[in-house]
Amino acid sequence: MSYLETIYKNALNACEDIYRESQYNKDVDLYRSYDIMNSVNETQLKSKQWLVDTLVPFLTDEQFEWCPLQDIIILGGWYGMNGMLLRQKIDNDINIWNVDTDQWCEHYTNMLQDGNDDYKNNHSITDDALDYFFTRADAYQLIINTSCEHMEPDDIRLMLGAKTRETMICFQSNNYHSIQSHINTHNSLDEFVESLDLAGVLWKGEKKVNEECDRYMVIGV
Amino acid sequence: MTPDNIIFVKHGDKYNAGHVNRLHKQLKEYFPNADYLCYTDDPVGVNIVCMPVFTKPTLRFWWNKLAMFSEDFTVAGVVGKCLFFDLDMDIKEDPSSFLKWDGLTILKDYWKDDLYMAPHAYDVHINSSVITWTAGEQTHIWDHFMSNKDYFMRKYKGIDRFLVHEGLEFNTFDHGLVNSVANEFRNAPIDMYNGMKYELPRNNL
Repeated sequence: MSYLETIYKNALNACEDIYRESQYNKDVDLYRSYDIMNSVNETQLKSKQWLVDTLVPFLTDEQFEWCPLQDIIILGGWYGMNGMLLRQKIDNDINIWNVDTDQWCEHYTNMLQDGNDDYKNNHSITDDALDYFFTRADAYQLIINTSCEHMEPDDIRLMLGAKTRETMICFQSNNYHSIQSHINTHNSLDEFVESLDLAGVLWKGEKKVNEECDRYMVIGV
Repeated sequence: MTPDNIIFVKHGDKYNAGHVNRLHKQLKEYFPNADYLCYTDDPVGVNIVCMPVFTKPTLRFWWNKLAMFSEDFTVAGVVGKCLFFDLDMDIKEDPSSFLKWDGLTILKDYWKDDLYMAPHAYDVHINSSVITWTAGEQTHIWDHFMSNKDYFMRKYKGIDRFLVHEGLEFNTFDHGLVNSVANEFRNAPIDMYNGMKYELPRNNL
């Protein structure tokens, strides 16, 4: 079974568990199953695979001469899909820290990773992603954030100011203005990149992942 | 009963200062001693005291209504009995006899009584177009929203669904406070347009 098939199988199992539990427990959150399905849908897979395929060529020894790549933090890791895709392309000894405020993300990330030893260093943390980062800002050599559209612009700038100078970032945002929880969308790739005011841009690009919006991505320091 | 504060929330460009001023003028007739407050991202043209929307967290659309329950509102000096109105309301008569301050009180949608609602659709029979509460006594609502706001905003289409399906306690006003103009006519002190007012003539706006 391929790693993607395992993820889908585990996602289906998680949804099945939720349905079964809901038959006997009125407090079960049925929406959670829809949310899990969304986290592994075609659009999510496309944009996260795009990130992995684009980012990995930059994860070279030369790029991390200042400090070997050992710890990666994924802000707003949701159910861990990004980390699982990235794991296929990087050494199993490198730690990937998925951090999300939503306490159920930890539980379902562990379910989706179940049965694959490759994910033994994919960790899931329940905490405010920024609070968690700020208390250990020098611990990571790479910061990934695929949901800048959900985060306050001030917080993103503060985080960029707090990170170690050489720490690489790989951020995504979009122009999907109509979603009610999108508080930090951009009208173009350049507008997004300029908002970050990075010391150096290694790569930037955009991709149409569905009919509704364009996805923007920047890799830099 | 009469309120100490009458609060409006204006965010984005769907409603303008004219809607706030018009409601203020209508309500002033019945509640001349209340403090009027508009929580808004754009105070231009608003004739009553304005409180700027929080810079953090940034919220969009109706989710800003939940900020009224935050501790910050009390810190800003809002004390006592609060009464909130959506901006698409027409006050035709004195609504005082329907108003009560007993925890959080919201409208019940009388026109939805017979509708089938699947549990996983999270539809509700209530409507937060009119709300009463006592300042500082509902801060748990804001705190709960903030505990996982992105998930709640994905799960629920609006604050009514959030309130009901997150199990937050509320009461409802007796039927007769509002007439929903999109449904069968009822004689009531308030006409409620439920966001559809732009398709209707409003001669006195």
